[in-house]
Order: sequence, then C-alpha cells, then structure tokens
Amino acid sequence: METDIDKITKNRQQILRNIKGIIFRSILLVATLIGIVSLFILMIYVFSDAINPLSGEIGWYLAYFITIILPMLGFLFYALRDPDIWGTSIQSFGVLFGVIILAIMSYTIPQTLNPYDIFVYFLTISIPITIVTVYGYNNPKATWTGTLIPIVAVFGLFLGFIFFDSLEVYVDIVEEWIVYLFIIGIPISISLWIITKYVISGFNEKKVSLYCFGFTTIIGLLGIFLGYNSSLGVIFFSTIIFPLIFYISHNILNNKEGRIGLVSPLILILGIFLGLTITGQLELSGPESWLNINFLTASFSSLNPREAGIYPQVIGSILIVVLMAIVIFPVGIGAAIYLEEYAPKTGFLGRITQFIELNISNLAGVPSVVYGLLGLGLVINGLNIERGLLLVASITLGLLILPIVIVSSQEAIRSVPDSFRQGSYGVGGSKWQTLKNIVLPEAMPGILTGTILALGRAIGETAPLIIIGLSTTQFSPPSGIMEKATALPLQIYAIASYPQPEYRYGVVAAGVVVLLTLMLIMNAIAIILRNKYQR
Amino acid sequence: MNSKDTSGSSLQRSGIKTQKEKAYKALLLFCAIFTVIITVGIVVSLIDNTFIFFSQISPIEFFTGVNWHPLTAGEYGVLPLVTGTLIITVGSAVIALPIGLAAAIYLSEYASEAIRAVLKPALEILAGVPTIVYGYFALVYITPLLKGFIPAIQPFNALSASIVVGIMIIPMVSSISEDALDAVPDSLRQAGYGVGSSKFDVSTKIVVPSAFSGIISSYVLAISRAIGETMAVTLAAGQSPHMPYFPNIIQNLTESTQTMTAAMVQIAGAESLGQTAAYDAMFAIGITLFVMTFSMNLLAEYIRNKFQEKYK
Repeated sequence: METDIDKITKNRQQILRNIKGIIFRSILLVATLIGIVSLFILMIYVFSDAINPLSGEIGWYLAYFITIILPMLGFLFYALRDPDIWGTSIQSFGVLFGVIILAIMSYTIPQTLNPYDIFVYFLTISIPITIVTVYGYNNPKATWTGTLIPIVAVFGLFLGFIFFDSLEVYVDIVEEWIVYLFIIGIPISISLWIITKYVISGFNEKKVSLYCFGFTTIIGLLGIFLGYNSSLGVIFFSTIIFPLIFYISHNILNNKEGRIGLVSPLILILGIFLGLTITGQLELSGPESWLNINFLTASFSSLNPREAGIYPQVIGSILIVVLMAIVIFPVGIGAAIYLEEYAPKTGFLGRITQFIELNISNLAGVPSVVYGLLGLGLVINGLNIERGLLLVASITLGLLILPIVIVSSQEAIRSVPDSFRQGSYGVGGSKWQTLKNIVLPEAMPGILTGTILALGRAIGETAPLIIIGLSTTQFSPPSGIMEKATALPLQIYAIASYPQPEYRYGVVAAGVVVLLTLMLIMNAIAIILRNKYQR
Repeated sequence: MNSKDTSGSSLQRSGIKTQKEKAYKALLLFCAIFTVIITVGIVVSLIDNTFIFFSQISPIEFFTGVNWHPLTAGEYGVLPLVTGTLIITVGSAVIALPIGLAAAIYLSEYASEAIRAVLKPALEILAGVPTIVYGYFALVYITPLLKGFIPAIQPFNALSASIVVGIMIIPMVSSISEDALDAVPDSLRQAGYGVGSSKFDVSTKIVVPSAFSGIISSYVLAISRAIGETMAVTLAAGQSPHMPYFPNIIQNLTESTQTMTAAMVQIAGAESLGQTAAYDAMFAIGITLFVMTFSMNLLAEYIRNKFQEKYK
C-alpha cells in the first residue's frame, strides 16, 4: 500500500517537474525571441511606411511578377541543382551590383570634391610612388624601395597640401575627361592587374590592365569627335563596361561548369525593361514610394515633403566613412600587429602591454558622445578650426571605432597558425618579412571584415557628429575635406520630430531605410569576405 | 641576395636590415601607444573645460542644484539630468537584464547547435541597429502604441525610451552571460544530473550560480551602455529636465525627461555656441558621464577577471 502511494506521489512530482521544465523552457525561448520579433515588426512598419506598398495597383505587381519573379524563380530551380551554376549566378549578381556602386561612387565623389582637386593629390602622391617603384623594379639590389613607398606617399600628400594652389593652376588646363582617365581609369587598371595576378587565373595581367587603360582612353577620345560627354564615357566604360567584359570573358573561358549562371542577372535586367514597357503601355501605376529617385538625388525641402531628398547627406556619410577608413586603418592594424607579434607578455613591459589592452577594451566602452567632446575640445579648439568640418568628423568617428578595429584585427592575426611563422623563420625570414609576406596576407581578410563591420557601425553614429557641430540640414554635400559636412543620421534626427505626418511617416521612414540599406551593404561585403576566405 | 656580394656589403646590408626592423617595431609600438594617447586626450579635454566651467559656476551649485536650464535661465544643477538618466537606465535594465539572462540560458543550455547558429547572430543585430533608428521607432511607432494602454502618456516619454534602450542592450547581456555559462565545466552539470536533478534544476541551481560573476559583469556593462546611450533617449524622451516625481512614480515614465547625454546634444545643437558657460557645461556633464561609465567598465572587467581565475 505504502509503495503505491509513494509511486503516485513520485509520479505526480515527476509530472510537475516536467511541466515546470517545459514552462521554463518556453519562457526562455520567448525571452530570446521577443527582442528579435519586436525589431522585425518595427522594421516592417518602417519599410511599409517608406515604400507604401498598398498604394500600387494590383496589375502593376502582377506585371512585374510575371516579368521578373516568375523567370527568376524558374532559373532558381534550374540553378539549384548545380552548385557551380548557382555559385556563378550569385557571384555575377554581386559583380553587377558592385560595378554599379563603383560607377556611382566614381561619378558622385569627384563631382562633389571637384575632380581637379583630387587630380592634384593624385599626381603628387602617385608620381613619387611610380618613380620609386620603377627604380626598385630595375634595381633588385635596392631593398629599401619597399620601405620608401609609404614614406614618399605621405610626403606627396604633404606636398600636395602645401603647393595646392600653385599646382591647381597648371592642372586646370587639362581636359576634364583626362583627369577622370587618371583618377579613375588608372586605379581600376591597377586593380584589374592585381585581381588577374592574385585572385583569378587564366589571363595575362599586363594585357588586361593595358587593354583597360587603352580602351578607356579611346572611349574618351571618341567622345570629342562623336559629341558625347567624354568624362561620363570614361567613367562608365572603366567602371562598368570593361570590368563586366572582363568578368564575362573570364567565366566563358575558364568556368565551363558554371558559366550558364551568367544568364541570371540578364534575366533580371530584361525583366525590368519588359516590366517597364508593360506597365507604361497599360498605364499601371506602382506604389507611391517615398523612396524614389528624387529622394536619393535631391536635397532637403522643409516645405514640400514630396520634393525632399537626402543626396547631400548620403554623400556626406559616404565621404566620412571613406576618409575614416584611410585615417584609421593603418593605426588600427599597426597597434594590432604590435600587440600580437611584438608586445612582451611578461615582466614590467608585459604589465604595460596588459595596461594597453585593458585601455583598449575600456575605450570601446566609452559612450560615443564623449568622443564628440574629444573632437570638440582637442581637435576643434586645440587647432582653433571651424566646427563641423568633414575631416574632423572622420577623425572623431575614426577614434571611436579604433578599439573595435584593433580588437578584430588582433583576432585575425592570432588565428594565423604559428607553423606559418616558423616556416618563414626557417627559411631565414626576419620578423618583419614574416609579418609582411606571411602573417598579414593570411590575416588580411579577417582584418578587412572587422574593419568594414566597424565602419558600417560608424555610419549610424549621430551623437558625436552633433557635438562637433555638423549641420543637420545642409543643401549641398561637402566639397572638400576642410569643408562643412553633413551626414544621413543627422538629417533623420533633425526631422524625426516634425509634426506633419508626411515627414514623420514618409520622408524620415525613407531616410531610415536608406541608412539601414547602407549598413546592410557594408555588412554584406564583410560577410562575403569572411565566407570566401574562411579556412 | 646573390653570391657576387662581397661579405662587407652583405654585413652592411644586414646592419640596415636590423635598423629597419627596429624602425618598424618603433612605428608599431607608437600605434599601440596611440590608444593610450586617446584616453589621455579624452581626459585632458574633459578636465580642461570642466575647470573653466567650475571657475564660472561653483561645483556645489552644479552637483546639488535641482534646476537645469543652461540656455534660457543660466541654471546649472545637474541632479535632474542624473535622475533622468537613472530613470531610463532602471527602466531599460528591468527589460534587458532578465530577458538577456533568459536568452543566455536558452542559448547555452537548451538550444541545439543549429538554432544557436541562427539565434545568436540574430540577437547581435539588435545591438547593430543605429540608436537614432531606435529613437525614431520609439517616437513614431512605440509611443502611439503605448497611448492605447496609457492614455496619459506624452508624445515624448521616458517609457518608450526605456523600452528601446532595453531592446538595444539585450545582446550585451546575453552574449557575455552566455560566455560565462559556457565556461562552467560540464562536470558540474553531470554531477547535478547524477544526483537526479532535472534540467531546470541544473540550469537554475548549478549553472547560473556558478557563472554568477560573469552574469553580474555583463549586467554592469549593459547598464553602463544604457547610461551612455544618447540618440534614442534624446529623440524619444525629449528635452524637459525635472526632478523625479515622488509619490506618483508612474508619472516619471509617462512624461518627458532629459538625460545627461540628451542635455549635451541639446547644448551642442543650439545656435551660436561660443565660449559660454553652457558650452563648458557640456564638458562638465561629459566628465560626470565618463567617470560613471569608465568606473563601471573597470568594475565589470575586475569581476570578470576574478571569475576567469575560478575555472582555470
């Protein structure tokens, strides 16, 4: 009898325990999901406010469904069966998207900063580098040329800064398209050289870069006779047409298994054109999206929300990030290398290393607004310059993300196996040679991933920029690094509390979507880099 | 290097090589030291202007004053800002600390590898969204939603700010706590199961207490982050500093307030900012904020180091 009662109570306890476990487990799951789900819902709200999907006609959606979605789905089912084709089609989308962004940046950034100004710096930096490189190429005994290159680059930068005014007079007589040929055509030719040499095989790197430069020159020259804008021709050809021809021919010749995948972007482009024709013919209207071409290319208007745009802010944000990468990348990498490869771990000096590392982790926890005070108190008041300049914004945000860059670079360097270093020492490499030739190339994808992620975060930073006095609403992008700058999140801040619903739910929502998209693009680049090079 | 080299020039070259190595090392060392220079720079620029501020306004007035109207009335009492910050910090902690810990327990003890691989990065996204976007969400979507439940709520209010700041710092709690839970040796869990404990008991009575210091460290870091949070609270909680309402505590959440960070943004955004007392007041608040967050970060670091020693 007693055992029976015991069994029943035990059973009951068992059930209670099980119920308790299940409840606990579901509470935990709900807690894990609640933040993600609420953010997701908020995202849906902001996207639907920005794009207004319900205001479009059903026929419009149907037309694009038939011309784009259906063919793409069809191809997707076909491509999924073959990983080669699948990989190629994803890659070709990436390449297409990449060259379009490259072309837009190559056009807008020189437009904003004045191509001739960039040309001056291009000349003062590249001419000394070229001289040293050519000298080093012809005299293999001169081992110091590698060291000299960064030094002359910095020297050239200073030279350009000091003699800017006198040099600009001479540069002004050059045709605009020749300027673009130099500042865009040459870097792209060199990049193609590097890509053919190190990333993909099958072509002669000298021929590829010479063709790129030669044809771009011809396109520019033809513009004079045929009457089209030579500058646009040079940009368009060197950033989109030639890289695409290069990519397509590379795939057709060297990627026999997956080359069918090249068709997929073509399907999309054809679908868009077909959809445009159909909706135009049948007069079907799409959604009244706040996020349209005008929004991306116009400047802000406080009177008419339909005319308001964010062009100066987007360009401002991009310029800040580009400049920030240039300013902070060498220092971040340098500190990471020192801490991982050189820093003593024991003794008194080891204590100092520990102190530096502790300091870095604490800097990462300093509120961003305090970095604004650093920029204001030390840079602006210390140098006695105007508030709100582009360079100060880049330096301030750069200091803010420096700890993140250092920590992620440290991790990347640490993940290089020690056997690699031993191998290099074994064949007589010095510490610096080992670093330069073995460790850094191996760690570079990881370093770049971490840096790009940090830069992506910096795009959304607002508070430090307000403290250093960036103007919230500005009607033109900054035209130089010592000019007044503006940034996308500042515009969002300025108009988020406008009472009119057209601004609150329309213009600001569209601005938020653009900001999130910029971050998403940078994160996507970082993730692709990581996945591609992950061991 | 080829065989034609005379030994003399080869020696000379290896001399240059060592020089070069030394130069590189010095350059890299400078990069590492640069991070210390930043900290020094922050401290110097804060202290410098704070001294100027305290030469105009007495520290006693600053730290004990209950009115903050720097731009209009020239009143510089920091207490309303500190309490405003505390209200939002407490509000966000109430949301983030339990949720973050629960998420950490789920990810560490319950979730399968596949679920973990999805949920962990998804949680990190919460910390990756710009704070200005969170502020906009709070102002435009969350406050109208709250108005359905609390009709008295104002367009700018501390509650919506607390909610978004809470969401924002969840990953801070969950990821650091999860590391702490993961570091608890499996033998402790096995011992628990060995004496017939359920998973619930093992999780709550063995794993969580064992990782206690790591969890506390994550809490301290998250609270420090909430204190320093700027744009979300500026947009959502508004700019009306006041001392906390005492008997009616709910009112503190439904009405607008101003945090220390928001006050700095307001001053910086004001037109025609010269070398006025208001300008220097920014630095005085800044140093208050810096000392608070910096000491909390150090505290978290200290707790975590203690904890790491435990299972080495």
